[in-house]
Amino acid sequence: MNELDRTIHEPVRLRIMALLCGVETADFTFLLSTLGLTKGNLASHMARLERDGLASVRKSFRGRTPHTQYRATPRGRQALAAYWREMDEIRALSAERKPRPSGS
Amino acid sequence: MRTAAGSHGNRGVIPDVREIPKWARRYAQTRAMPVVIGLAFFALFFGGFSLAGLLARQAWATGRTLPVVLAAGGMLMLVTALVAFCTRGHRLVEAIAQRYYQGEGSVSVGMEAACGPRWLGGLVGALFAACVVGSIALGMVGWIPPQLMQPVSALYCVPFIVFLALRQRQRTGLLPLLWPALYLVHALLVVSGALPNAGSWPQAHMFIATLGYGLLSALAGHACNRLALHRLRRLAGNEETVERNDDSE
Repeated sequence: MNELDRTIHEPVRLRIMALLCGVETADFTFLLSTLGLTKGNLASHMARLERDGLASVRKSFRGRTPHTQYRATPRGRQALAAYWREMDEIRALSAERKPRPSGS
Repeated sequence: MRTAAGSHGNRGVIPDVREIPKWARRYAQTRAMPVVIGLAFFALFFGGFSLAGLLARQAWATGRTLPVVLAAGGMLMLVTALVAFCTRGHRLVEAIAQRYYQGEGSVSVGMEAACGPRWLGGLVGALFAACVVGSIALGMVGWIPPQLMQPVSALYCVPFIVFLALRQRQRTGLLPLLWPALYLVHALLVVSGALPNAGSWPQAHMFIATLGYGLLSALAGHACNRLALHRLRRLAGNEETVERNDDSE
């Protein structure tokens, strides 16, 4: 079994990647309002995802307001799919090793 | 504590997180506010034309000239406004919708997915326009009775709306198919005589089928959108996640 992708394994980044993989593009405000993060936190997580090539960023202006859009890269989509596969394997192994007590 | 990974938390979270892409997509596909706003504008125009026409007819019947002139002037202004809205109105609609969604941010889905060649859209649009003009002309010369205007319009409106809905399904999902379905059912009810169709009812049938069902479908889409957003925020916006997102690396 491969080692889990530490970038995606982090809960907030996992949710960000899950969001981005469901749509084509999402802007900073959408991610901020949906995830309930602070701007600084979101920016640092996005910087990490961008650095690892899992998400790409496009910066533009709407009038005078900066507009930042993100999208999951093909590599990011593959990484998320691989992460789910690995998690399924871990859960399957865990279920084999620790059968639930019959009373619970 | 609810965490994403089963190794240090609740197992039930993983299926929840896996639901996020589905609800994000559903949310993006049901942002129907531009349609609601656009149809509301057209309903206003429709109402304006109907009111001006009614005033003009009543004044003409009683022989008063001034209200007829005022109604005609009003209609002229409405035509000018309608032309302006059709050519540049999309900017206004988008600006209003953008203001509405300002707090939620913007999200897009399937922008690159064009179903079929571009010329097909042009051809179907031209056919639709020809059908509209043709049916109005045939109605004016009396070949199509007013009572059958809505059912006849269903013959070209339903395929056209279905075509648009299927063409845009990547962006909008299949919810817009509700509109042609209601349009068709209404036409069948009119033809079968289940609905009243005398006096001013033929006009009412057209109004209900075009704007009424259009608005209803858009509002249904909007309701789905709110539901999807609520579900998405519940799945993705975990308060515990916010607490532990310091990301010690």
